[in-house]
Amino acid sequence: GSIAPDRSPWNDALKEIGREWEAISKGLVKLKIYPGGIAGSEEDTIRKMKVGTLGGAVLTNIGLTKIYPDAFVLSIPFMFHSEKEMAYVMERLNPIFEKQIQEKGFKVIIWTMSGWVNFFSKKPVLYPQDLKKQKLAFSTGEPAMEQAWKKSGYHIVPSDLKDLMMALQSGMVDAFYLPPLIAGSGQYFPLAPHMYSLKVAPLVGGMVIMDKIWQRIPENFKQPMLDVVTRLSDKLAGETADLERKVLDSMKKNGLIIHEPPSDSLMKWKEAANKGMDELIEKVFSREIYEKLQQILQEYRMKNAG
Amino acid sequence: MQVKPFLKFGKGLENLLAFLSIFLLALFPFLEVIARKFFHTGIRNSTEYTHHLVLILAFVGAAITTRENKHLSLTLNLKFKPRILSRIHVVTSFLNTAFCTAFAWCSMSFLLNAFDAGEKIAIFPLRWIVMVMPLGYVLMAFRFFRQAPGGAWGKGIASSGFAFGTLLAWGALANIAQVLVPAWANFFDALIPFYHQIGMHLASPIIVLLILTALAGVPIFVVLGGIGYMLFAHTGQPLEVVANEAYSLLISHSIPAIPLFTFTGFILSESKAGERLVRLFKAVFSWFPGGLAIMAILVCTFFTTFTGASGVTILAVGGLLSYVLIGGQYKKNFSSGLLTATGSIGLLFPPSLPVIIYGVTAQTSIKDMFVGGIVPGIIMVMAMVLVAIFYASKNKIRREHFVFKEAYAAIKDSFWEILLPVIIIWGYFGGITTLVESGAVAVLYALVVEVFIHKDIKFRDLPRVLLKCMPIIGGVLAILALAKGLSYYIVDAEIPMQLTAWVQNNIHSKYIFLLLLNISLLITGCFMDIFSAIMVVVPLIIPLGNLFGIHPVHLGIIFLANMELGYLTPPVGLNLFLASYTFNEPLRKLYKDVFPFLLIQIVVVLLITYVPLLSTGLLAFFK
Ligand code: NA
Ligand code: NA
Repeated sequence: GSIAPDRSPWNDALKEIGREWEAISKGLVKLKIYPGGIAGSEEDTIRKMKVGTLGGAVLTNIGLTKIYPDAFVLSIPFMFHSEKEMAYVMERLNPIFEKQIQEKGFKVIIWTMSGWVNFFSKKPVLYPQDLKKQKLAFSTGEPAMEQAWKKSGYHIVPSDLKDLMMALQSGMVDAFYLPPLIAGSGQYFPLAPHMYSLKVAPLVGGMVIMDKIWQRIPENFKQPMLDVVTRLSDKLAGETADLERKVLDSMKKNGLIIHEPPSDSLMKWKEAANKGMDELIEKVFSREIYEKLQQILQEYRMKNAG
Repeated sequence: MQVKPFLKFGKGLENLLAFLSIFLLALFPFLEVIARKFFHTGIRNSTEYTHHLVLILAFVGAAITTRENKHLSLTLNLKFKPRILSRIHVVTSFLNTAFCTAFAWCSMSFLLNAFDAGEKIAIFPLRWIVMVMPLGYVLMAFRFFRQAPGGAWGKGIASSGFAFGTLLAWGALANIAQVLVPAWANFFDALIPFYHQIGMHLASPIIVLLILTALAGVPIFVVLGGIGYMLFAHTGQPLEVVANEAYSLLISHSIPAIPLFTFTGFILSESKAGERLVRLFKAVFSWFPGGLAIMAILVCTFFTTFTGASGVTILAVGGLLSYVLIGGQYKKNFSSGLLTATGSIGLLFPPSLPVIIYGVTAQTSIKDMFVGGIVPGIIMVMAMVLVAIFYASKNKIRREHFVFKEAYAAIKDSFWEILLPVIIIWGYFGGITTLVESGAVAVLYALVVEVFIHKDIKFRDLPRVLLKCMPIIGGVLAILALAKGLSYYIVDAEIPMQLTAWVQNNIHSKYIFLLLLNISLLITGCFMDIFSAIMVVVPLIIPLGNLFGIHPVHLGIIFLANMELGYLTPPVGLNLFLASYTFNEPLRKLYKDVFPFLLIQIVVVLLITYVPLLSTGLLAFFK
């Protein structure tokens, strides 16, 4: 199960993985792919894996959080500043996560970062107070996060992604945060033409398979199968980055205005986000993992400061 | 042992639970609106609360519906001898008991396997909330068993349904054992191969039996749920998926709107709102040729938008309108035909339930669907109005003078009811409330108007009103929940892909495709109710629509307009049944009365099908 639409680079990569796995395992492993969310939402997909209807799934970090809540630290807003920083953190946290997830009965095949989420709004946004004056759509299935945004002082309107267009038109919402690729392909940006280039949160996702199924695969096939996924995921990362650049260019031609963050703004965003943090610590993820993350980030920033 | 007081207590508890869940369901979204508007915050976890309140309401509602023996079924009037009828009834009780038992085991296994023990919504463990599913099914299984006729003999056969249902759910039992008593798991696992054999060999005969007994009164939810269940069993897939699909559907985003608007409709229909609206439209239109009939059409439209496709319109105002029309020189056959035909005519206008369910199922924006339905809906209403004017002129029906004083008094009298659609449309399309929030506002508004302003409904009568609408809420949600399983099977078996491939190879003209679509939907509408049809047929037509480049909103409107005709087509036509009951006319005569109206509606449906702009024109305007 995957929520990536048919005829998207993600789905092409999945098909490719399916073909190669079948070849490696000499026909023992076959992937049947359900693209475009036809197997249901991420939560639904996870339940289907648990009851044995689906063998595996491609999930975003929100879905992974449903399996293993501590994974949510990777989605904390304004926590990470760059790809390199993110890679440094994931390199250190992923082994912990993968082990915990395995204890829940899932095998992580791959878990990577594939871009960032940005704000799009009707009126320009540079500082938190600019966003607080607009109604922000919240469409991901994480109620604690919704509460955290509310606590931080934002005007949150819970809304379904498929109603976002109408919600923007009718004035029910004025702003949303999505990966630029989706904002562009959903044609939402003409209604909210101001994009803020400050990175809100990384877009993390991956592919998991039920551990029971993974255990049944002969050992000698496993490493080649994982290698295929790593190779294709690097290729995919390149393709999506190209695609994102193209989409951003075409959006700019069609009236998208990109605002660069002033130097003192990140501090302000973090301050506001901290107000909502106690809605997440010990409610979604453990304090332990949060402190661990802080420590790793500090380590990286110390190393790279001097 | 004292059984009766215990049963009575249980019944009271069930009613209380239904009552509480629907009031909380109205309260949470309402408070969310207030909190958002005035305090820029919201209610913690309110979305999760409302979603799971619907789950509770659906299963308590379905159990109550079983208790009252009011599940939607096809029931033709079978002309068999009483002895044979009683035997058929034993078989249907057996099947109902067996499948409810099987569903109960599967949902028990589902809740143990899909949710961790620690998962909570606020302070409530999720597993305990979802427990309403197996408990609801067990209760239904017992009630179906108790409804079996024929003394010890009939009861004996029906009671074997428990055993048979358990056998059908053996895989689920094994999974339950693995979680709860791992020591026993081997025993259950040992029998799994035997159980797979059963699934393989019994699937086809049971599916045939379900389809046959559907005509003899097995509820639609058991038929569709059972077919989906047996198909999954045939392919050896885990049957917990049936429970998962039901759960997923019931906690989806817009589903809470269904009980909310249905309850609103019942509050209106149990008050004197119908009489006030009749007075209003009569005062405003009766100077016009066909004025009374136009009045009837508008009252029906008003009611249908709220009560959706439930047939409540005819029950609520059919009798009154028929009385007024016949009093105004309209012939009985015209009046019955008109009212039956217009009993579902508001189907495309907000906040109609089928449009919402279509949007949920087809993943199309519900707002877009409502915008797309405006013009086709108006054309449908106008077509009926033209018939009325034509009939009135031809039969020289007396017109009344327009009396300003009466019109003013009538407007004053029905002011609060007329304001209701205005509030909903303004709130929803004005971007103030979401669909679910609009439903919550509608319930509370209707309560205030009918209980406190007009005082038509006494506060202590509210449980009675709610109990009256429970069979619609519980019945419809049960169909949607179980048909979702069949719907997922269709997707899983890649039937839409195969159908699309076949169509791609064999049909090359968009117009031929549309014509075939109309014909097949018309036939679907003859045999299926609108809710089942949405769940089962929509996954098939969506890829076909894409193939021929039909706008998703246009496709949705074509589908719904065709299904609207289904209310009037034999053998299964909900409006025909209800009208026959309300107007005290044999079905055969009603077919004849309705036929001319049906023809005109078919013409309108063809118009809607071949002029896409009617459905999509306003969309562009809104952008
Ligand atoms: Na109706
Ligand atoms: Na019909």
